Amino acid sequence: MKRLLWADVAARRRMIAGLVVGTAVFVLALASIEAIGGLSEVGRQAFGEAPPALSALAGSRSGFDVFTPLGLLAFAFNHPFFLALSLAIGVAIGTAAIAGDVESGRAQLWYTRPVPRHLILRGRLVFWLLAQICVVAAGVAGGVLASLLSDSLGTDGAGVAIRAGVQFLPLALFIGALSFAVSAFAPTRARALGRTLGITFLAYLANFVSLLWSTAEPLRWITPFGYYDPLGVVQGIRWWDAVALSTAAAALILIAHAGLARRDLA
Amino acid sequence: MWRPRGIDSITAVAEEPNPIVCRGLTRYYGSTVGIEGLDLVVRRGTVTGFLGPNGAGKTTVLRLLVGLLRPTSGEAWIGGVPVADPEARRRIGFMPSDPAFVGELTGAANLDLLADLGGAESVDRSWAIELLDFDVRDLGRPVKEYSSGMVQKLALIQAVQHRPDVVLLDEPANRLDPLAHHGFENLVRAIAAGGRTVLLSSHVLSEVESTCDEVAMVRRGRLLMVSSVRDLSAAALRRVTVVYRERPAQLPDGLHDASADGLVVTARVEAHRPAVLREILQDPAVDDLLVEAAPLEETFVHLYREERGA
Repeated sequence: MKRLLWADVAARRRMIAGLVVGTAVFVLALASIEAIGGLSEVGRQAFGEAPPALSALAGSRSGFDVFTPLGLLAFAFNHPFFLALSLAIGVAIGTAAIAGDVESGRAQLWYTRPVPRHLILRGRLVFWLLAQICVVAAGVAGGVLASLLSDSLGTDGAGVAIRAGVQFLPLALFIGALSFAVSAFAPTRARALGRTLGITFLAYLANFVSLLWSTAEPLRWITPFGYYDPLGVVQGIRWWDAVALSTAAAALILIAHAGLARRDLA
Repeated sequence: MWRPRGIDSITAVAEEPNPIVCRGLTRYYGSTVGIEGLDLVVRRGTVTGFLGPNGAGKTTVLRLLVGLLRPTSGEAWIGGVPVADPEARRRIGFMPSDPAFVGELTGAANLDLLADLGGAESVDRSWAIELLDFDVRDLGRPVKEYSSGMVQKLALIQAVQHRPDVVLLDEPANRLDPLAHHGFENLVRAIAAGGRTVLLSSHVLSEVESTCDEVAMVRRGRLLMVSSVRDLSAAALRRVTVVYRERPAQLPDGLHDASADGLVVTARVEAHRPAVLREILQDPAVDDLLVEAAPLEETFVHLYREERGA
């Protein structure tokens, strides 16, 4: 399986490198703007309290003010740009792993070996996990670096960045696992990609609406984003949310295994 | 004399450990027939050509044999092991029609990866590399830099590098130039000479004629017949060229597709019809007669027409 891992690394090294750099630079840039220009203070002076739409965009139910240095740093880990960068790796690898292999014809070389299908899938899962951890760690590194260079963030900022990464990882695992599960049942990679992105967007939208409109608050329980509170990490990691997302991700991986075992590979 | 081989002969050999056995193998794609009720036995040490036009079901059968597809009904075995069992795939070397290697890896790294996935204790690819005249230095280059012919050769090498008992090749010579095709024929002969079995699909009759011992013809998802290439050649149509001294009043019965060019008439005659030839020779207007075996291609087309007519 080591060769399988290296094959994936060779095929995707540029994408991983791009996402690692992009994620790190984005968090570093946002935190640096806060450190140098006092972005949160500018926002406070302009709006007073954070507008409901901005609070909803920050994805927080903790009530922690986004117009604080630490709040803004935590917000970086729920910014749509950060979400797009850091979730892209799981979506790309997950949809390519099964539907993409079938579509490209690579499955005809790999899955015709005397190896049970689930072992090949396991190899792809290990690769995805490592790549996902690298991308999230890059975001954390960007936040930590900005914090160490900033008086307003300091060591508290470094702690928030690390906790934000830990809290975010289960969400990334869920979306990646969703990609694998969808891929196991999709005839082409394009369809797997479309379905995964559609589900993810609807899930994000559901959480956004539930934050903005109290009547829709129960929607938070059916969307993975409802179990992720980036501003809440200022006070500490919400382990039960992490456990819930990780368990759901594991269930999706089992579904992917079942789908792969039953599907045609050509 | 050529005869279609049917279920009786299959039953007779089914108890032997034949390398490939299909019984009632059927696969539908929705309401479309991929292959239907295929009964086929491929004997050890033979090279069998799976022949048919595009969409006939050749690739479907190969994909069923390597476990990429699951049959709608029926069963298949590789060396006595059901194809659903991963152990069956240990005995197989498979070359798909459109091999998709990891382009960023070198040829050698791709071969190593596939050997690793195959769980082969040892691989021996040097003989195949030599027979296919593949430049060893190219193995150190990324596959994305390969030409389509080189990819095809690499796909052949990966299919045989672990010396499998059964080699399944889907349109193997599609992108090979004539020189490489010669190497491919040598490779197939070398595999069969070692007592291994080859089943290759093709829609090119000349390829099958030059490479195979047996031929299985399939059309619209159904097996038409199985025959040895030798029997088929013996049963092939005869191409007759008759040169007349003067325009003949009437051509003998039994001539098919006759066409005249001045006093030269060309036509086809079914095999083993000496009466037709005698009738031609009895005509005093005949100056010369040339009889030759028609290419297998013409027999193939003739058989398909008969089948369509039926």
